[in-house]
Amino acid sequence: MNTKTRQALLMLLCCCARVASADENALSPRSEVRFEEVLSVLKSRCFGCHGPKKKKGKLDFSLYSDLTSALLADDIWKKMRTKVEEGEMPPKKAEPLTVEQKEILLDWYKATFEAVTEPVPGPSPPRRLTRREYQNSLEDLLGIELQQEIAKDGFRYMRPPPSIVEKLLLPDPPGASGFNNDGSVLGLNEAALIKYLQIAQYAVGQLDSVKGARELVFGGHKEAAPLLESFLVRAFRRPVEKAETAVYLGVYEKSRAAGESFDRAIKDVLMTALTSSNFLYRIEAAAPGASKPYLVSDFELATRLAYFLWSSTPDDELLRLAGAGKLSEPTVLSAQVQRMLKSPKIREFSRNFAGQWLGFRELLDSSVLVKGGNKLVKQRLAMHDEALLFFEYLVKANRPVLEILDSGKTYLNKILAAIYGVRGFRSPVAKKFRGREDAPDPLILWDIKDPNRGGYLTMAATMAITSAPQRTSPIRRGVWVLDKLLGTPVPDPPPAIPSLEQAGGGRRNLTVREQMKIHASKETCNKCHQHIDPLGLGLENFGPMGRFRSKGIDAAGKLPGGQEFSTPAELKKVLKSDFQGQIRRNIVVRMLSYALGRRLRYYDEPVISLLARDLEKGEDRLHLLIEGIVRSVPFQYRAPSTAKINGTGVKKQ
Amino acid sequence: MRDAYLISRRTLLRGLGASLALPWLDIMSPALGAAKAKPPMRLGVLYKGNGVHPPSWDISGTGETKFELSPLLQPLAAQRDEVLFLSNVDHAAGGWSHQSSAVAFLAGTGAKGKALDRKQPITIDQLIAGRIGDRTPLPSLEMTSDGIFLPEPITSYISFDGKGRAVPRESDPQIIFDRMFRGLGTGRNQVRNLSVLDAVLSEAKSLRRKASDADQSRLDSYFDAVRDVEKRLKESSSPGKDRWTPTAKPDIRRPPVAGDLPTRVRSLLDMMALAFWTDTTRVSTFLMANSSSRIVFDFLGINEEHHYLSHFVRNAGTKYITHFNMITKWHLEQYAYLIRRLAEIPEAGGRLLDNTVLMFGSGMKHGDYHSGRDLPLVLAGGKNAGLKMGRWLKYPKPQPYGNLLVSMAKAVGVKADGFGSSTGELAGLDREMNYDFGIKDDGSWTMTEKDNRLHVKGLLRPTNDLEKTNVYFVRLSDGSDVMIDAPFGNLNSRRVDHYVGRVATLSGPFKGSGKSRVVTSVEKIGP
Repeated sequence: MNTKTRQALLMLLCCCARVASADENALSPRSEVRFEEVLSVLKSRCFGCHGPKKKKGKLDFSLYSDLTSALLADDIWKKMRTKVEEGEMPPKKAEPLTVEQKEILLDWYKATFEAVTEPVPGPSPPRRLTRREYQNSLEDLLGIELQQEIAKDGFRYMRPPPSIVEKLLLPDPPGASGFNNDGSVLGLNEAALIKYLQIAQYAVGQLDSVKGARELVFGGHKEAAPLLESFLVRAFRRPVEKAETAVYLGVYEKSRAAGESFDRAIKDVLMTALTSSNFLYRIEAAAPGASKPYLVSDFELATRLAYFLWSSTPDDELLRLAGAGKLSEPTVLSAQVQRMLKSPKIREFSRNFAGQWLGFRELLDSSVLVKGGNKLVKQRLAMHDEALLFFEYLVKANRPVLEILDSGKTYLNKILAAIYGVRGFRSPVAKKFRGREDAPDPLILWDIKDPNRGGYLTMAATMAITSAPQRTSPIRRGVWVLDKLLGTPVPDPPPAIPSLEQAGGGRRNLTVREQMKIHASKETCNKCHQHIDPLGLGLENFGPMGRFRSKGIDAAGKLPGGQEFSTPAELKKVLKSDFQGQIRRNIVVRMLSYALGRRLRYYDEPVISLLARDLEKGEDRLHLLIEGIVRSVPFQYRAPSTAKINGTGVKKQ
Repeated sequence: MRDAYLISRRTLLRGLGASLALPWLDIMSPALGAAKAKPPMRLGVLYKGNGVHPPSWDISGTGETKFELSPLLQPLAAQRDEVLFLSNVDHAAGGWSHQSSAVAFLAGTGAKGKALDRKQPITIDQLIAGRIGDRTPLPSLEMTSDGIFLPEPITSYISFDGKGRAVPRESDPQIIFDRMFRGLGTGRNQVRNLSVLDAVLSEAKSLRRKASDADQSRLDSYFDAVRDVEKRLKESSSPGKDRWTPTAKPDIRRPPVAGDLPTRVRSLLDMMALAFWTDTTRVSTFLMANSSSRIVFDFLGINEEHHYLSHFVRNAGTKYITHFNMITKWHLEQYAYLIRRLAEIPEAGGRLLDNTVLMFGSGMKHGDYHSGRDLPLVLAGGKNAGLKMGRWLKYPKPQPYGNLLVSMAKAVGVKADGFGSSTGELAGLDREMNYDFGIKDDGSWTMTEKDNRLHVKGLLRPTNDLEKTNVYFVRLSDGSDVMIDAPFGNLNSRRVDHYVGRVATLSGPFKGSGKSRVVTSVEKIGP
C-alpha cells in the first residue's frame, strides 16, 4: 500500500483531519515577540522573589531567558497561569499586576501551550534497549533462555537467580516519564560496551546447548551470505543494504582466514551484530528534507509495536508483514495487535508497564529479597506475581480499565490467601507435594467476595510497597493514590517545613491521627496534606504486608471535595464514582507515555483527549486503549528531522 | 575533527599483536613505561546522603589544633593526624533539598529536576578526569553501595560528565575488578573479542558518518563509549608515558562475591585503593548512600530506613537520633578504613595516602531541615600536594563550597578557576590559619551553686555515647566536665543542642555533690 492511501486510511481512523507539527504552532515569530514581553513583565514583577537571588518555592524565572528553554518548562508556566489567573500571585501584600501585564502573561500561555489542537508526533529519538528489552531481544533472536524462569504459569516459590544480563548490566533509571524505556536517559559507556560484548559471547555460546536455537539462527544455510542476510534483518529489525551485509561478511571471512570453523566464524559475526548500535538502539530513519510529520516505515512500526507490547524484538510474522508492506494496513494491524495480546509475551507488558507505573516491581528489589527470611521472600514474590498476573488478566480478558481500582477477581495462592484471610482456598497442587517445604504454590484466578479487596488500591503488593519496613505509612499511601491512580503527583514539602514536633509544641509519640491533625492546622502543610492524609488514613485497615486489621483503626475520612467514607470499600466507591475521569485520563497518559518512551508534553494534549474520549465511549475496554494508542499519530508518525531533540520536538533557533 | 580520535585505530590494531599475549590491560606485565620520579596525585571521594545530626557532628574546641572530636567523628580518633575537619564551608543558596544535594556535592551548584533527562552541571571529578584521565586506562571510576531511588533518580548519582549526563556507577566489586584487569578475557577468547571489537568500532565509525545530526546527539553515548574502548586498547598496547608504575607490587586479587552491605562496601573500598595503587585511574567517587537513601541498616540492629531516621525532628523520637547517628558513624568507620588502607600501601618512599586527596562528606548538614550550610566535610591525605592534616579549620565566615572543589582540583594538578559557585580557592588547606574561633577560655568557665540550682558556664558538647541523646557535658576552665543528664523533652524544648560547640551559660536543678554534680533539668540556657 502506498503512503498516500495509508495516510488517508489512518486519518479516518484517527478522527483527525490533519496531522500538525508541533513547531509550526509553538514557534511562530509572534510567539517569540510575545515572549520578550513576558520576560519584561517577569523581570519587573516576579524576579524579586522568583529570580536568581531568592528562588522562592525553588522557582527561578531567570532560568528561562529564551523561548527554547522556556518551552521545556511547560509545567512551570501552567502553574504560573493558574496563580496569575486566580490572583494568587503576586501575593496580597504586593501590588497586583496591571490588566495589561496579566494579559501579556495569559495570552502568551494560551498562544503557546494551548494552540496545539491537533495530534502531533513529538520527538522520537534513537533509544537504547533497556536491560530487559535487550535480554528479551537476545532470547527471541537466538532462541535461547537467559533467565531461568521458575515462575512458569505462576509456579514461583523461590527467587529466580539473576541472568547474566542482570548480573552484568546496570539497571536503567526511570526517566521523566517514570518509565525506564524513556529515551531521555538511556545512556551507555565504555564499561557497558565491553559487557555487551561479553554477554553476546555467552549468548552465542548457548546456541549449541539449547534445543532448536542453532536451527533458528543457522536455518538450513550452508553459506554465510544468505544466513547473515536473514539474521541481520531480524537483529536490526529492518532491511539491510548490500554494503552493510558486506561489512559483516568481511568479519566472517577474516575469522575463516584465521582458521576458524564455519560455525565459529558465523558466531563471531553474530557477536559483532549484537554489539552494534543497530541492534542495541532503536534507530528510525530520518526523512531528509521532510518538513511535515511522516509515517514511519512498516519495519519501524513493527519495532514500535513489539517493544510496546512485548518489550522485545518483532517476531517473524511481524517482520514478514512489514517486509510485504502490509503491517500498516488497518485490518492487518488490528489483527496483529490482537495476536500479540494473546501471546505469552504480553506478560512483559504487565511486568514493565504496570510494574513500573504501579510500582509493584519494587517488590523484587534484590536488597529487600536478600534480607528477608525465606517466608518473607515467598510472600513478597507472591504479592508481586499477583499484581503481575492481575494486570495480564485485565489485558488478555479486555476488562474495563477502571478495574485496576476495583475488581471481583484476583490471583491467589496459599500464601496470599492466608494474608487476605480467604477461607476455602484450594490450591491445585498435587497431593504428593502437600506439606512439603518446597511444594509449588501456584497462583490461580479467584473470585473475591470481600468488598475491601480487589483492584490495585487495596492489593497486598500496593500496601507493601507503600509501607516502611515494619509500619504503615499513610503518607506514602496517600501519595501513591494521588500520583499513580489519579495522576496528580504531590509537590515536595517546602524546604523550611515546620517539623511536626515543633508544630506539636514539643510533644512526642503522637499518634498518626494526631500528626495528621497538625498537618491540617498549618497552611503550608495543609495545602498538600488535605489531599494526602484522608486517602492514606482510609487505607490504615491494611497492615504493612496488606493484612486486614481493625483493632484501634479508624479508617473513616473525608476528602477535600466533601466525599465521606468509612471503609476502604467505600473509599474505592468514592474514587470510582467521583474521580473516574481523572483515573481514566491518567491511565491514558501513563500508557501513551510508556508506548512512546517519553514524558508527555503540552502538544500531546489533543491525543490524550481523543484517546480518553474514545475509551469512555467504548466501555473503558483495555483493548480499545491499546489499539487506540497503536493507531495514534505519535505512534504512527515521526516528526520531521528539523524538530530537534532535547525532548522538545520543536525547532531549535 | 570528529574522527580525529579514530586515526590511530589502524595503527593500534596492528600494534595489538604484541599485547595479545598479555592478559587484557594487565598492568603488572613487565616493563610498562619507565618509572617516574614522582607518583601522581589521586582524588577519592566518599559521599553519604541524608545529612547528619548536627549536634553530634560538630566539633567543640578553642583552636585549630585544640579541639575534641565529636561523637560522630570518634571513628577517626586513631587517624586524627591524617585528617582535616572543615567547618563553615557551605552552599550560598538557601533551600537545600534531597534532589539538589547529590549533584551539588561535586558540582558546587544545584541540580535540575528529579529525573535524569536534563543537562546537569559537570562535577569536579569529571572535570579532572577530562584533564588527566587519558594518562590512565580508566579516566575515572564510579561506585555505589546503594540502589536507584526511583521517584527521584537524580539523588542517586554524584558524578556528571561534560555533557550533563549522569555517570553510571557500579556496585559489584567483582565487576569493577574485571573492568580494571580482565575486561576482554584471555587467550583465544581475547583474540576473538578483540577482532569482534574491531568490527564493531569500524561499523560505528561508518554509522557515525551517516547518522543524521539529530540522531547523532542521541547516539552520542554509544560513540563516546566506542572512543573510550579504543583509548583503552591503545593504552594497553602502548602505555602512555605518563602512566605510573607502582613501586610496590600490588596485590591483584579478585574480590569474593559481595554478600551483605558491610562486605560489599569493604570490597569496594579495596577496589578504590587498588585502582589508585595500580594507577588504573586517578579519580574515583563512591556514593555510599544516595541523597535520599532508603537503605535499612539491619546489620546494625536498625529496622527503619535511613531517610526516615534522618528526619529525626519531625519523626520525633530519641531512638531515631541514636539510630541515625549509628549509621553516620558507620559511614565514618568506612572512611577511616580507607585512610588506613591507603596509609598501609608504600609508594615511592612514602605512602599511597600521601599521594591521594580523600574526601568524605554529605550534601546537606541537618538531615531534617535539609540545610546547605556548614556542610559535614573531612579531608585526608594529600601530603605531597602540600595539604596539612591534623587540624580543624573553622572559618570565621562561611566559605563558598565551590572554593573547596577548586582547591581539591588544584591539589591533583588541575586548574578549575570559576568552577561551580566558587570565588577562588579555599584558604588554609595547606597552612595554619590560626583563626580566632571566638571561644576563649578566660577563666570564667565555672560552676556555682545558688538557691538549689547549679549555674554553669563553659564549652558545651554531647556525650560520645550515641545511645544517650539526653547527656551533655560542659567543659570548665579547670579542665573538668559538668554532666547534664536531663529528659530529652526538656533539652529539646530549651534547644540545648543549639549550643553545642559554643560557650553556654545554663542553670537548673542537680543531683550529687562536689565534682560529680549532675544537672538534671535545664531551666535556662543562653550564651
